[in-house]
Amino acid sequence: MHNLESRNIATGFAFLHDEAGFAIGETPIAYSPSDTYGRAIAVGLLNTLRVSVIAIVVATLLGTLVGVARLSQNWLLARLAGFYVEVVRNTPLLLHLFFWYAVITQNMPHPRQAYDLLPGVFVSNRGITLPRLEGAGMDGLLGGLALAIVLLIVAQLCRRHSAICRLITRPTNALIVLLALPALGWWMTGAPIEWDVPRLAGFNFRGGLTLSPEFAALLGGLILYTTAFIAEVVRSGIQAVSRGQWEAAASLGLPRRLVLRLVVLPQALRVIVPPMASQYLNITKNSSLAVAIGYPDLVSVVNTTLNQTGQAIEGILIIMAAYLTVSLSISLLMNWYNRRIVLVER
Amino acid sequence: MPRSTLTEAGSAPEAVWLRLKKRLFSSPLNTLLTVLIAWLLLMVVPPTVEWLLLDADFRSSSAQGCADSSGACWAFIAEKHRLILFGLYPYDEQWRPLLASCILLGLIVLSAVRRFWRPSLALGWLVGLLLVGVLMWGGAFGLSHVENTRWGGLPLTLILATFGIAFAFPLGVLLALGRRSRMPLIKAVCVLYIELIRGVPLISLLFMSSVMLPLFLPEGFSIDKLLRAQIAIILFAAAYIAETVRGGLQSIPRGQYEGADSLGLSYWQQMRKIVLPQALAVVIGPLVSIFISLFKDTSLVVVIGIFDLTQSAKAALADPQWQGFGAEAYLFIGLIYFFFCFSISRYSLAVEKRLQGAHGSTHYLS
Amino acid sequence: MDQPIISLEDVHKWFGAFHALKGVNLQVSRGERLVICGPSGSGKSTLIRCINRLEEHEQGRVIVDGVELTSDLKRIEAVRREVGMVFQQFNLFPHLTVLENLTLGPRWVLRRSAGEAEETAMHYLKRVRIPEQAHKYPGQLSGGQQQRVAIARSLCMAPKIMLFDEPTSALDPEMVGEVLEVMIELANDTGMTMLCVTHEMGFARQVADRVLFMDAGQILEQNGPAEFFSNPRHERTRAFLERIL
Repeated sequence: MHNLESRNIATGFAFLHDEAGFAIGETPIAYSPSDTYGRAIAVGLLNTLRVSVIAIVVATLLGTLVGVARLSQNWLLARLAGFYVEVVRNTPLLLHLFFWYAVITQNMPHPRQAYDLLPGVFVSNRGITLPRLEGAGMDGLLGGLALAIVLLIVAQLCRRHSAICRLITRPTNALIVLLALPALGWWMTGAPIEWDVPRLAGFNFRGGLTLSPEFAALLGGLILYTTAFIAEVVRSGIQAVSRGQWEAAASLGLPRRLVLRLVVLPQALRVIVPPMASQYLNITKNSSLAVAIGYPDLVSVVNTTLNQTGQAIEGILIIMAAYLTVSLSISLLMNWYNRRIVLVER
Repeated sequence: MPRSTLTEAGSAPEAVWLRLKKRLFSSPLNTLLTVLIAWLLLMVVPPTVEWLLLDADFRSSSAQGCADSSGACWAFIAEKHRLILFGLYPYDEQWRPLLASCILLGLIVLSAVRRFWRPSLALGWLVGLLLVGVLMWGGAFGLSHVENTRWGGLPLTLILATFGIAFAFPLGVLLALGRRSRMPLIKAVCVLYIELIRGVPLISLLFMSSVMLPLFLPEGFSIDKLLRAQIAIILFAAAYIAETVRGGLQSIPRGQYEGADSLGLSYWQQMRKIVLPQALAVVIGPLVSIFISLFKDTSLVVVIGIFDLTQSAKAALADPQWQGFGAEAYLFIGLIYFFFCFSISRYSLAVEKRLQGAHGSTHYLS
Repeated sequence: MDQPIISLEDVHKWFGAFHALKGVNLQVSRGERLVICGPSGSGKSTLIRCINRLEEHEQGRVIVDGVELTSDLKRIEAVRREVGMVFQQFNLFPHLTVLENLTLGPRWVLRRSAGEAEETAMHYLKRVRIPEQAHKYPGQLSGGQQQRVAIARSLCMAPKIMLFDEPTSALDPEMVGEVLEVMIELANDTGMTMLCVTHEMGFARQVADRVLFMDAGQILEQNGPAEFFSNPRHERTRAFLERIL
């Protein structure tokens, strides 16, 4: 305390209302240097969440595939998956991020000679530019999509109690819901939706959605890195299912893929969920490495704030509070899911 | 042992073909996969090998010469490897960190071999660490003094990792025991510590240590930046070790505790002689992955400006005369990290196998 | 009816350096009941596991119901549809109810409808005398009940051959009886071919057409139960019988 006084630093969170005075590179919500520190920190938090959520979803999908591939009977596939996992797990994430950032900013060409992977998708040293859906009708579409997702989640929860819920959650029906509701929402607004395809104009692209090198490197690095760990979690889970289960299912005449789907994976799930949860937590925490490649995540923004205002303790508290909240939410969610799928015993 | 394959095989080449067939072409889907992967490899591997080795430039002495060749510029590494490996340490004295690294590595390897687990090993560590300190700092025995702000590169990474593990491990074990304690205060403190530290990223702890610690210290007293980073790493790893060890402790059947009680052993005797050896053996896999993570996490000290291996690679890249060789630099240190981490994980697999043989099969998740 | 339903010709199997099956020859006729006994490590389990390809034989031929077992997946799956197996550790699927355990095979392998599969399942549950447990989970049943469910699960596939790998060895003594009863009923009421690895000699005496004694990877002796138990020809058979009877 004496130290703080001697340096003329205030305590308390009043500084959040002061003007920030610094710019932020990526702003999912509108922000300018004349906005408050509070708003700046909110932007940082949104950036963190943005990158974490996408990384969690994609890494889970890819990681499951790679984990199953590692156990494949195709020797080539198994070895390839194993090679990937070993290389990624034994190198630091920061290195991955630096590497990809360097590749994008140094080895990728100027927008004029950008690589054109798919029609409308360009990779250059300004980042990855994608086409984007635009128009007044988007609100209806997104609203319908959100409604569909909520509906499916609720239906999944009440499966045990209601036949309607069971009907909705059947794969084909679920797909129909996922496609129909957004379409309905769009139709109800009666407004147009069109593709905003990026076009080269002068030295850069105009239109479309550009993922900055920082965002692309962070997202790509996080996904590539965590996929390897999730693959290991999935593999351990599958291998934890006793051999007898494989044998009993096989001796019924089930082909291997059905053995996996009907007998092994459901049991493996119970072993997979806790470590999977900690991988999700890791993704969220690892996103803080963004500060090293210049992506304005929460830690980066708070750090700048800290340096400008000198209010170290408050800044740290904000960071800890934010991450702890996310950690707790993920933990609670996983615990709840865990309890639902526990095996019924005497 | 005679192992002829199935009756369809008449000769050795046929046997090999049958094995290949089973692993790669056993079904239409399998065949398709094999073909796809082979095609992918053919597309990717030859150009990569060309870039890495065939077209690579190993010798030119300037960036221009390198830029002309279409392959990797390993001449850059040849030019900069001492900066990358040893950081800002004075050029002529770099034999000292080299020797210090070798001593550390030697100690670690010795500790890994069971045959050397004797009291003299602890003595060896003490002597070794003293030597490392003398070598790095100097100021004695005719060696010039080198401030630890100039330490960098691989030796620094090794030091951070070794001391990190050495102190985090006992701290983690104590925390795990504390969390299972029946004394509410101790338990609360341990739980709070573990959950708080595990909930936040290491980067925030590093920032905390470099920003907050000075505020809590009396005027004029400052803690060395390297020490702050070391403390942050130790505190961070200890929380994760604590959780893993707790899992191991939980897996010990209550009968063990009861047996030890009935022998009249004190709490600490129980722990040391009966419970901990078993608990730790069970969680070797997860523990080793924490150690590997720790080793990799030393790269994060970049954000508070300490010159570990990753930071010195960045510094090498900052040279205006050699621009644009990020891929080569990061591949180089990537190989170094990979070498260490992979060796550690292979070693742990061997230890696990040996222990499984002794204890029977153990089921756990790493 | 002349062709044996199972035929093993000079079958060898190695586990690394260990020679588990040393040139086994065996012919089993349709509807025959075989009991295989012998000391542990003699290869009894390996032998029957070669019949539904849970183990791969390395030399010789295994022919089941006219289909020779090779590494061809189609053949393996075809054989497994005709062969049911009951394991020492039951191996029921813990995440499914008893009913779901029984309908899994018929629905996904035999492509029956849900209704048909459930009917068959309840029929066999009644035969093993635990129809009231249909909606419980395996974890809620006793060992004896679980093994009876396992037998019913195999029966739902209407196999021609049933393999039993020490079905009562993992059970508490008071539950062995209920499982053996079910197996005896199976033998008496159906014309199913049964191969049973077991130490339960009472069962063998009652049900078996032939008793085999295996030791060190070879079939040392085989005979009708009466002859086998009263006049064992081999020294080792005698020693074994003395130990367990």
